[in-house]
Amino acid sequence: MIGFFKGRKQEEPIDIRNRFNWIDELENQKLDLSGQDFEARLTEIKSVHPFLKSEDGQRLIQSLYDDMIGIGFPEESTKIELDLLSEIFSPETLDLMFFNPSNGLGNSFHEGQFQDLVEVDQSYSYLVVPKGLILVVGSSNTILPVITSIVLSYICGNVTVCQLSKLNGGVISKFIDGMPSRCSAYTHYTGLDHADPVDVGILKQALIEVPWNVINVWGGEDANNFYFRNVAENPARPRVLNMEPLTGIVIIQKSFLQNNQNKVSADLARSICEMGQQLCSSPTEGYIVDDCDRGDEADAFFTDLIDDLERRFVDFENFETSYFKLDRMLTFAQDHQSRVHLSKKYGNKISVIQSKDQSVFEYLDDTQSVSIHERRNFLELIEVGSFASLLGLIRRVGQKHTHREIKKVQTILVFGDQGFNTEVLRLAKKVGAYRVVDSRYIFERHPLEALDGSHLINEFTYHLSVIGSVPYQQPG
Amino acid sequence: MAGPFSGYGIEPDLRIENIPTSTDPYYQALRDVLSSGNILETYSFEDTTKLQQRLLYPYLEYFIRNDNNDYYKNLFYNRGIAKNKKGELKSDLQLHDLIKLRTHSDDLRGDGQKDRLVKHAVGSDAGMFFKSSGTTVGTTGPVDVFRSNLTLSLSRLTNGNLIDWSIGKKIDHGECLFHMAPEMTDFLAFAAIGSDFLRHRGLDVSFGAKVNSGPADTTIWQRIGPDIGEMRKFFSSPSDTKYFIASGVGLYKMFMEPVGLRKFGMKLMLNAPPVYLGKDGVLMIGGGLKRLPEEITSLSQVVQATGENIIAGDNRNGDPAPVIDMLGLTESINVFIGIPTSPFSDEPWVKYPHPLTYVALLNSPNDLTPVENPEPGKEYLMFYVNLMTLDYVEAIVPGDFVLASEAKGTITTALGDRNVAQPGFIYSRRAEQNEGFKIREGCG
Repeated sequence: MIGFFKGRKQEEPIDIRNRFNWIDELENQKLDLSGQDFEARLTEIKSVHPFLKSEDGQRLIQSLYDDMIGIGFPEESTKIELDLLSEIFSPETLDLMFFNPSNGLGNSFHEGQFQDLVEVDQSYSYLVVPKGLILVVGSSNTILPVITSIVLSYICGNVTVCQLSKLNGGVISKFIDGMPSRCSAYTHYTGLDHADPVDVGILKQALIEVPWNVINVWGGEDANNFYFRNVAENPARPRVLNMEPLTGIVIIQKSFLQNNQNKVSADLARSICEMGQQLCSSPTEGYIVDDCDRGDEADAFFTDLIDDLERRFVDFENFETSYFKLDRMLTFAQDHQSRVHLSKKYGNKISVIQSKDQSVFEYLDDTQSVSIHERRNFLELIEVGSFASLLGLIRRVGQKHTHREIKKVQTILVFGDQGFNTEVLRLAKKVGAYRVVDSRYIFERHPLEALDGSHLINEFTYHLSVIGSVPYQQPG
Repeated sequence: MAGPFSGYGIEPDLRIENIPTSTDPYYQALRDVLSSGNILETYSFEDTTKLQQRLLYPYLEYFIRNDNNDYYKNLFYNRGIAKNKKGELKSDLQLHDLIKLRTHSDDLRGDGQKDRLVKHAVGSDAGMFFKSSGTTVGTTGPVDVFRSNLTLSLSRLTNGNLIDWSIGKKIDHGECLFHMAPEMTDFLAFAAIGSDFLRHRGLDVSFGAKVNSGPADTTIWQRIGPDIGEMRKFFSSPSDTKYFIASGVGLYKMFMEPVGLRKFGMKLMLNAPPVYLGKDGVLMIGGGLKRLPEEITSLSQVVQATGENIIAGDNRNGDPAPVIDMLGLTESINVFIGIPTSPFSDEPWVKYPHPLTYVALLNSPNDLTPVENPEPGKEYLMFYVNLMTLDYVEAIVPGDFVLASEAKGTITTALGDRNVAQPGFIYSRRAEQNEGFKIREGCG
């Protein structure tokens, strides 16, 4: 029995315990997990990898695929997500995550952290211990991040509760329940509907009254506002780890482009096409920095880029009204001296806008702008005369209606020589970007990398410091 | 209060001699075309195309000549039809290049038209603003289009051509009742232009609705009610030629919705149904399915249900009055007119443009390419350019889908055969607002 409902008024009809019978078990489960062996959990999760290659595993994956397509997920991105799902469980990936020197050696398993007392010097040792109770809030656009959070939380020794979208919540729980692991026993689901007034009441109650240690929100502006506002009233002061809507940009050195046009075009097209440009890393604006001092336009590159985009084209559902708005955006761009490159084959389903010095959309009003979440194969490439102008342009990305709700730039895709790339790295620090990548890592995450500046393993654990000269045995 | 309908509507004397553009050669060229008789009755498809091609450069040059703040010089260059920003047009332009100048209806909401107006229309009070109902959500207000008296003077001729052609004779006498309020002729394009043309031709124009007083925060649409006296007067008139001009929803509310006591009450008040329109009477309808209940999925349902009660004659033995359905848009100075059809006909309701309206059928919203030989029965996106709109380039993508009709040079209507000057189309639907499943925001 947990004691966090003590102050609750009896007359209120909403009670989270009436809806979720596992609520009262959370505290016991936390104790139970804390007594278990970390390495055993890690090994257990690694065993999911061969399972997914087995017939049973393939059946499970096929069933997830059918469910996702039934919901309306685009075919291509569903395939990519499910292909990558098994990667989360590969022993190599998990070892890299947990033996991650970039995560600070203190949280790396090299020295047996997570289960053993690590002696740093004679008077200071520490244990890495789970934080306890994690709430993961999933977004509806993808399943991988939430599954990653659930699995890492479990390995770290936490009990996890998932508030998932009605849309894909069933897919995620089906997978967790279907994999050969006790993870499912320590994972619970709320499945509350924001739009339902009763559900919202229960959700608010859960946010305010359950003593979460961490709330990990994968969601958009509305979701983040909702969770942040309500969690503020929680006396346990949970740490909120919000993965906000971010975006990617591409920075191209013109001289590099001229010598590597085919590669840049192909790699950029791939970056744009993957997952319908809906990843926080997908480039949605780009810059060609003229370091040649010749002032000639990169026309041939735009032709190549459209060709490459056509080759990789994946059709998404047609939203008629969005295409009218899109055409208004494109004619707005034309009317303001930008050049608009469209596909002869797919019309404005592939649109690349060539602008000079600044984004043509800085003065576009909201009613003309197709939401970034509805745009596909759409990129504005701005030709600039100097590297110095990039700082201002990148800072303004999120202020435009075309990037409404986007908090900042997450990923910078760079095409340049070593000197240029180094400049981009310096720029990335100034604009607060999280990643500078080559095109391969637009979609993929390196197992060693932090997610938007945070290592989930760090977020789901803390250091229990042992200080002084009193001797201890390994807790085991 | 200069309007002819209780102070409302387009003023009878348009005083175009006061508008300097009335001496413009393009305006004069249009007058010449329109003064040579009703070209809908004589032009073949080829003649219409030749006319439109002949007018293409003069049309574009007109906007360069009358440009305000170099809007069109820049537009033509930016959209790829001029060589430079001085207004030098490219030498190989074709009619299909007009798609490059497209404006979407939503671009004409709020102040959208303002920058596009030519000199004579900027700040002018010699004209009228027409507005859409403004009920579309998520927009910056209603479509709002200024029509100068110069354009309105041409509209009298072109819309007159269209109705004369459809009816099959020059309309110059009779009575008409608009099932709307006179106040609407001050802002509703269809009401204003239709009533103006018919009044101009000498018909007795009346209105079957009135605007009641009501709270200040209500719209005119909420305060509108029937003008029983006017309707009764029209219905009981012994004239041989009566044109009853109503919306689908108007017919529905008068003759389909009332049942039992209400139906009896309606009959008592209006002395109708049946409605006798005289032997040459015609029912003209417009407005599509707006505000009709869900179970009504086509206007033909409404005219079939009311057909027996709207009669061309003065007694029960008369035939059902033929129906002409019109597609009127706020952002089009010309209507797209239907042909007289029996209310019980199963034939599709084809709409025909005036030869001074260039119509192209486009592939789709994501491929706005004019289709060279549209396939009959296939759905396309509509685009039109009214070559006689002189206040701005009226090259519009209204967001309506149409079906291509068979291209026939002659057609048979309920009132005889007609020459066809330009292929027609069958109205299909508005663009879908439903966005279906979309990948939502979030981090990945």
